[in-house]
Amino acid sequence: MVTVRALCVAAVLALFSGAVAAQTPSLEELKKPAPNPAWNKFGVRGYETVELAPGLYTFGNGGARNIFLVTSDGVIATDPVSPAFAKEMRAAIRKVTNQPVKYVVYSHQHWDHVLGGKIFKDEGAVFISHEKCVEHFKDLPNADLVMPDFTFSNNYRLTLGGRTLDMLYFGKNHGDCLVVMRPDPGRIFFMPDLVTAGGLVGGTMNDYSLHNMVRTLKELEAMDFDYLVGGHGVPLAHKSAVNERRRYLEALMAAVKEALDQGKSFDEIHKSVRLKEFDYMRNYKEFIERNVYRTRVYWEMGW
Amino acid sequence: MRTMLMAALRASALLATTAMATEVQDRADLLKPAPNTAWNRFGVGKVETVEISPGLYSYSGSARNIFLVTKDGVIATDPLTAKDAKQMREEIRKITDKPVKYVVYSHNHWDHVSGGQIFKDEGAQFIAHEKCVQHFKDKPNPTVVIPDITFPKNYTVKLGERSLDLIYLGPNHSDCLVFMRADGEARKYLFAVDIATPGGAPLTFMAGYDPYNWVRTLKELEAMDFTVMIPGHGVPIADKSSLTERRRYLEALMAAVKKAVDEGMPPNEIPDKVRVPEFAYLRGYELNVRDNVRRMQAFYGIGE
Repeated sequence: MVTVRALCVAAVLALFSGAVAAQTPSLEELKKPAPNPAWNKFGVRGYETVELAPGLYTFGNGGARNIFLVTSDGVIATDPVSPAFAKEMRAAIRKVTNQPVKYVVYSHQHWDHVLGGKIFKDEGAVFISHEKCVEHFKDLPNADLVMPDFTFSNNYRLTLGGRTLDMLYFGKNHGDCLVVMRPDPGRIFFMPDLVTAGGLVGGTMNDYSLHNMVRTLKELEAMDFDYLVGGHGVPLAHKSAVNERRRYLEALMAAVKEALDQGKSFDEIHKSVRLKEFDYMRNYKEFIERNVYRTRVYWEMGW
Repeated sequence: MRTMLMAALRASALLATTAMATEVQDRADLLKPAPNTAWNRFGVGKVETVEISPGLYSYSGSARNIFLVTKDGVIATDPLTAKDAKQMREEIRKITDKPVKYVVYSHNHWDHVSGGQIFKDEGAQFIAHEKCVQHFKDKPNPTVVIPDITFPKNYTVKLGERSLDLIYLGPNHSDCLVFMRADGEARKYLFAVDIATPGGAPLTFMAGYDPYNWVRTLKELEAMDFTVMIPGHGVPIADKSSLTERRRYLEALMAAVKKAVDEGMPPNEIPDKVRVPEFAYLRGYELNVRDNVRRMQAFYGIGE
């Protein structure tokens, strides 16, 4: 079942500025492996709720996305994103169930995923995150952030009404407190920002450890599941999006390292290192130079 | 002139340790407050050693460090690269026959801490903030010597009649950066790596920096009782106001980006439109401001 409700138009982050507004592709189209042009079909449009599997929903607006799991004893929600997003999300959950939201799980510490939880706190939800996120929340307070009530140090399994949601910690990658979420029966993973299907890495990749990202993606590739939900973009993608992103990062690292080893100047590297075999990916033209720059600094400074 | 002198010294195989590092050129000009165009005069890659204060020297090659000569040996800092470490070892030997007893790392980035093996081989102990070790283990680099001594907050290295204070101010450019200052008359000099490069705009995306903690750290440094900074790149010394200049630039940039975000400027227009023209005189401003703005966008957008 696919329910689409255009409720309002949300601002999309700078990293999605190259995305095109488009009609919703079908889940069948999205389930095809990489390279999959259907993954590019998202953009600024209304909020929508999509049921991915029994009791498992994804809610988003193209710009940001989360999942929620409906059980007989209440709802396990994830990333509330922002006060406006959380309000729409609360209404969307109510259209599916009258059960209260019992838990809100944060995927990682970045504000474009974790703000706006107060509406759920007010109805009594318990907030959960990896313990390292709390250090960031304390270091850089944000009035729109609900502090976690409960933290854990490695993996954690949340059980409610006979359903489970596993939080899987892979160490440092995009930040140092990101968890991949695995609702039962474990065929679909929610992995915000590790992979945004079919696209290049956006932003400045500041809080981003390249070799740990490759390591994490390899660990995910070795796990047994079918599809992923990202924290931005399309509602669902084939697992091979993980492999596509990992191969892109490895190619980027190798090409920049080769250019450095050849003694090319930094400026020359930024302007000349390109990855033709990945130029089909979304935002390639816009982001490749910044990705190359970031990778050059990685090899130069180990950062 | 200095190159000729060094060549002459190398040619004299029997010449004992008579060479002295040169005095800082244009000292008076470099100590004038910001904005100061004298801070733009430096040659990247030019090998030079200057004496900043009695016993306190600064070596400059691919980047810059300090070393402190005592009666019982030398406290060196960032070896930079294997090539620099070798050149630096020669430079130190022109000043003293004493061994290098300690090598202190300013932070974890490879452009500062590679190449220390030559000092390890002569028995030096390596010192770093404990959080640097996590980075070295996470991302091994065969050219980085792993520290022998680590510490969680501040630390003082004592040798002979001298001491070097290592001051930790939390996360900023890295989470293990320490500021260093020697004792006595040298207390007015602070070796402050990468937190500011006098007179310049930060490079592109501001590698590693957490803008919020960067400003906090600069304010804490401004409140400390020293008057001259020794940077990790660029001129050997600069008036402390170079830190204020960098802090004011960051604050102006953050305020301008926040204003644009709050006023609803489309995110993809912000890097092209947001500028801080009162700082256009900074070295590298035109080249870097667009990416500096992008970095602040990520800060306000996601708290990164």
